[in-house]
Amino acid sequence: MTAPLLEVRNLRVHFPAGGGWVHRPRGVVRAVDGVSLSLEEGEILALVGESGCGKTTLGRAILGLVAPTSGAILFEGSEVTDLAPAERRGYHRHVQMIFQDPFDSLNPRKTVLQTLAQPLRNHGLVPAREQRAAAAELLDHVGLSPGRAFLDRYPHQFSGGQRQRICIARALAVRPRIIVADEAVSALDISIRAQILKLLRKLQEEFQLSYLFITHDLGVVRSLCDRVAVMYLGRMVEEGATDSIFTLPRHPYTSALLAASPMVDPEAARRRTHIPLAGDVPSAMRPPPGCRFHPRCPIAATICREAEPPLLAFEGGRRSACHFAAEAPSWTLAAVAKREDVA
Amino acid sequence: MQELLRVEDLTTHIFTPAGVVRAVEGVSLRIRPSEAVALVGESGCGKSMTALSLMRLVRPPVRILGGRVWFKGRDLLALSEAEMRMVRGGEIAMVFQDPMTFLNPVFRVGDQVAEAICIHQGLGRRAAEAGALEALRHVKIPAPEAVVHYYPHQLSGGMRQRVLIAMAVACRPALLIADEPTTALDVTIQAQIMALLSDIRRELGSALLLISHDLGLVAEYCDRVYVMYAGEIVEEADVFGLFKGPQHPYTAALLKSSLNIDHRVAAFEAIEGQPPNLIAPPPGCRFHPRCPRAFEPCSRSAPPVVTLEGGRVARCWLHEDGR
Ligand SMILES: Nc1ncnc2c1ncn2[C@@H]1O[C@H](COP(=O)(O)OP(=O)(O)O)[C@@H](O)[C@H]1O
Ligand SMILES: Nc1ncnc2c1ncn2[C@@H]1O[C@H](COP(=O)(O)OP(=O)(O)O)[C@@H](O)[C@H]1O
Ligand code: SF4
Ligand SMILES: [Mg+2]
Ligand SMILES: [Mg+2]
Repeated sequence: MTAPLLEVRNLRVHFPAGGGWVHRPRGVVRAVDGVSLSLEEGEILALVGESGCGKTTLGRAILGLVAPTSGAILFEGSEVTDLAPAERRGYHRHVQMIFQDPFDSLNPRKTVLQTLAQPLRNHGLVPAREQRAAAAELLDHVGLSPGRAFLDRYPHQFSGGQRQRICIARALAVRPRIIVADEAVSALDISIRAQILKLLRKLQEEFQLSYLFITHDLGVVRSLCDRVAVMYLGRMVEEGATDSIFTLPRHPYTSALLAASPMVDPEAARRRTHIPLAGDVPSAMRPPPGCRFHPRCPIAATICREAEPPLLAFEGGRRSACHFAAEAPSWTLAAVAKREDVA
Repeated sequence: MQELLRVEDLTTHIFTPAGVVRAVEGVSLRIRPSEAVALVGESGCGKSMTALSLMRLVRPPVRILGGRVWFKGRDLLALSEAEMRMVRGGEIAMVFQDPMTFLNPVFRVGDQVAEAICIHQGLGRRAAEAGALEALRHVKIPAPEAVVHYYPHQLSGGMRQRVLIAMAVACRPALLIADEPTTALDVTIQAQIMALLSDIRRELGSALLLISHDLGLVAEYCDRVYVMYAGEIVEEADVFGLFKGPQHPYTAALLKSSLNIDHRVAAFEAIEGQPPNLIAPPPGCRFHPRCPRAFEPCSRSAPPVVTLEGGRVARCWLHEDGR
């Protein structure tokens, strides 16, 4: 069996908690606390969960922007930290990131050409005199055409959607194999969001890309992503093929996320009766004992407060970390019935 | 039809150095008692300006140029500022996307809620404090006795929004205007807040004007919908009719672009282009440059506002014959 394109093994990223007025550290924020996942060639994997659950930190760790506390990241089977400097540069070329706010991530004083030429130069991919043509071609690929007409403009001369296209072009410049997209369409209006999703799917085919698609929008996940990994408070709670998970979630948190996602269908929406999940997400500094979800879980039992549930394997390569995952059809039955009469 | 609020031809422009932003252009809408009405559209289309205008919460360079806002038989635009202050936060209350624009960071939560109650109910300090505690309990804030002593930053986003709702509903408003009340919140917290708003509305019998860009929220929580594009209402319909058969090409495009959790769309459908600059909106139909069905008259003259079967309304040349 060939190794997955990217693999994350038991990754932990802990941050010292800011001391505030007191200077000594008050503890650690367990932003990512033992997560394993893999991304196959050509796959779109969604990473979902509420804010603060560690999605961005996991993405940044993969990019090498934050150092893991423990665990390993493997690219085509080799541990990234073990790579020789030259190979490591290769890895950094192959994994690129796009962010939620395309304005924050573009330098306002640089023209589009300067923004796009920099990665080309850094990785020595295109001779200096061909950079202009290469940059224009990139813009054509992301739907800003003719690209050469946009090269000498500054970020403020573009709309939000166009700026996100420029960020995508910059990520593509070095011909990466993986793109980590962190809430890349979350700030965009619906008509613009649809344009960017369409573009991301087109580029995936043209450039044979794999995406780690970080989002909190399950509607987008259903239509874009092949597989889903659900995180809660630094842990992975469920993973599996999108259609399978959306039809039968095996973790009550996934089930709650689906039930809380508004449906763009007034009749279907009125047919379901969901009980909103109570409370807020607890602090990542003091995660609850046992199952971290138990204080909010509608089916929590004594064992949930005492023992941390292991991530168990289920049909079709699915995994779930719930003591009652195996009984899922019974406690999710109501939710599923609601969705099925819609389909 | 009995109406609680009737907005007629409201026009609000913003006089900026770069030019006049035609943010609200002849907007008309009606809300019946205890009805949940949505004003939906993409960002920048004029939703907030519409709400702020009918509450008269605008100041230069924003100017209300015309229109009427009938509320319980009075034109709000003709009231004195003192009279308007009693309406605001009294019979009409508003909840915003970011509670921190409304909450003062240096005052305790309890004092701020009590203050809001004082202004409108003319209660003494002690009674208002008791009222504040009751208001926080009403919005299901856990341990309200402790929370009254907190500062806003000590609360989560969801709890702050609850505090804002507590202040808004303390005077049992007949109309609650909620401008993107859950946009900054996670989906499970959004569900909590929307459930709370529904419970309170049911109990008080208040009407709701929900301003949102999220068609899912609109589908789930509203009875009737106004779709706004580039400063104008382009379609009005009951929620079931709208989602089943949009009559304006913009509404149709929005629905095609929206993604649902219950099925996978094979190909993303997107309308090209972006909403226009409201300083120089396109002539004719403001949507025509992006409209897949635009034809000869669309770029030349403003489309008619046509009342269709079932009292639905669409602003589009395609319906000219239905007039
Ligand atoms: N540099 C940092 N220092 C301290 N804490 C951090 C840092 N970055 C993130 N965190 C904390 O780690 C947790 C996970 O954050 P993040 O990865 O941004 O979550 P998400 O992207 O899912 O919203 C949060 O509690 C956040 O406050
Ligand atoms: N203070 C302001 N100065 C100039 N333009 C403004 C101001 N506030 C809003 N606008 C413009 O008015 C239009 C309508 O804005 P708004 O009502 O806030 O839209 P929405 O709430 O639908 O997102 C937008 O084009 C926006 O750019
Ligand atoms: S009036 Fe014309 S351009 Fe405007 S929405 Fe109708 S068909 Fe499209
Ligand atoms: Mg994040
Ligand atoms: Mg707004």
